Amino acid sequence: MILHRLRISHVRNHGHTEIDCPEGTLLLLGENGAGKTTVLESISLLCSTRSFVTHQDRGLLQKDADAFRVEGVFTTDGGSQHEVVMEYHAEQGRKQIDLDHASLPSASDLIGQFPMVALSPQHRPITAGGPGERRSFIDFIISQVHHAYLMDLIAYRRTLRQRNALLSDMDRRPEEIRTTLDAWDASLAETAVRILRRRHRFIEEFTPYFQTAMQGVIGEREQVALQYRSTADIDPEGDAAPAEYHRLLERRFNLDLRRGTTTVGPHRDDMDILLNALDVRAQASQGQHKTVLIALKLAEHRYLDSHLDETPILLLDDVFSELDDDRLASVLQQAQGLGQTFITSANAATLNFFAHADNGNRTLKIENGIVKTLAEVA
Amino acid sequence: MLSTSPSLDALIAEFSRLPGIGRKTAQRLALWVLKRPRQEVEQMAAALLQVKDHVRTCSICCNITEEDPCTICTSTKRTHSVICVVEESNDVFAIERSNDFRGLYHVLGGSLSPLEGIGPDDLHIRELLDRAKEGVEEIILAMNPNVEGEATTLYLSKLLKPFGVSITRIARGIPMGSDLEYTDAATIARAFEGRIAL
Repeated sequence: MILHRLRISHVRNHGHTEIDCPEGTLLLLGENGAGKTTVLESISLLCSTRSFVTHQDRGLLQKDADAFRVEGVFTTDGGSQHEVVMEYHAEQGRKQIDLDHASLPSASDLIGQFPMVALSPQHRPITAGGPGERRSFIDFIISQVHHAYLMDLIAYRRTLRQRNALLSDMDRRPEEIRTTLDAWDASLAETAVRILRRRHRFIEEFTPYFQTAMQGVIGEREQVALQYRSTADIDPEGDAAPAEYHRLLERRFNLDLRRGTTTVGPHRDDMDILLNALDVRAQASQGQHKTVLIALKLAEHRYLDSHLDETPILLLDDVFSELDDDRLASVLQQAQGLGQTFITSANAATLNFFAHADNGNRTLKIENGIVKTLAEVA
Repeated sequence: MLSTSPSLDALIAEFSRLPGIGRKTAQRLALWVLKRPRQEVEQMAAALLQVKDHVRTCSICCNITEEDPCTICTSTKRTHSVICVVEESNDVFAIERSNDFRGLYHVLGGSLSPLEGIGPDDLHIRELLDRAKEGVEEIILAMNPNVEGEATTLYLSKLLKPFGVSITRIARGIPMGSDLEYTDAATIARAFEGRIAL
């Protein structure tokens, strides 16, 4: 899939920006704060409905603007053209997304249609942060491949909120908890088991991609593995799983009631990332964190590419300041042939890596939210 | 922004309270009322009051009605041993349009939602249990296909089991007359789960 044209209006420091994107790599050069990342954020909005920097749409508004708009024209690998328009009005406080001039009933309808993989310093918590970061990482990949999984996640969160509302209101509604909790538990169990099945299967499928990517990045053999760590100790496969999960919730009832919240389930689970059998989060060096993150992201791209009809767009935000030259060269080499790629850098020397760039590549310079070609700058 | 007429402002404020009506639409509606002949406006005002004065809930099925029991509950042409349970009166209208269901209804008045403080006592569940005791053969649960509807279905099915009536739920799947291509993935997934042998 190729993003041909991108229009950005009133996002951060971009007043009006229009970019014709090449089919290969687009390199965006500029000082810190010039507005490079905003271009990638805008692409992320069109592909995933969200920025990878912030989840608060309001924070994307240009100073003094009350609305922003991002437009993109995509060509699928099959050759058909689609236009995505996203508008956010501060007054309404929500996004409106149009696909080919018809408004989408829900933002989630867009997920998976225009796949994208982003790698930015914002993603460091995937290897170094809390469990929620790793859950988001796998949830976003699975959601792009299986839309029903995304619907299950949304339903699970809603059911969980309902169950927690009931639990935290024990004083006022003891009778209601006794009579209705069972229905919420049964409902939660059904959805939780479907989510667990998908996550287990995903980790099994994804691990070989991760191993291959890791070898590509560091060029030698390091053992990496992924392990799903479930707070609910049940086997999600098999017809008895929902009933088993339901019983688990019943056993936890007293604890859940004391805490006023649901203490087990997919919303509390984690995924261990192991490097030579050691937990990356606790024991890896800074350099290893970077390598593992890059390998995860390259694996994400290859995984999506082979499980979807569309080749995902790759967004590399500020990866150059993060890496030494050797690693950088190997990342760029890996990125070659991954499809359309957008790269930001504050370092003009980055251009050297593109010295033998063919016609499929292009470089633009950004200053204060204004995009110029190198010819215009010179 | 206030207009030059307090009466008009008051009407705009009233219209703004209607579901799905924003301030701009309320202004348009208020100006429309202003332009209509007095007689027409009187009719409208009378209709509003009439709804409040004459419409009540049926003591059997809890649907809205002007006669108690309602015309569906007293109809001799309908099967009284089958009850379809729905969340709201709107759902009765929808099912009646199909003209395929010839049993009776029971309107719960919503679905379980602890977040909104709605528990079993806030719904017409006791009335349903009373009916289940009296010669009912089948109870069809037709809640909305969302999280709250699902929990309500599970809750009712467990509650009704001891009565020895047959409990069914309506199928979930692809809407008729629509294209598979345009059906959302969650609906397709459920439709596959509920596939039937030919």
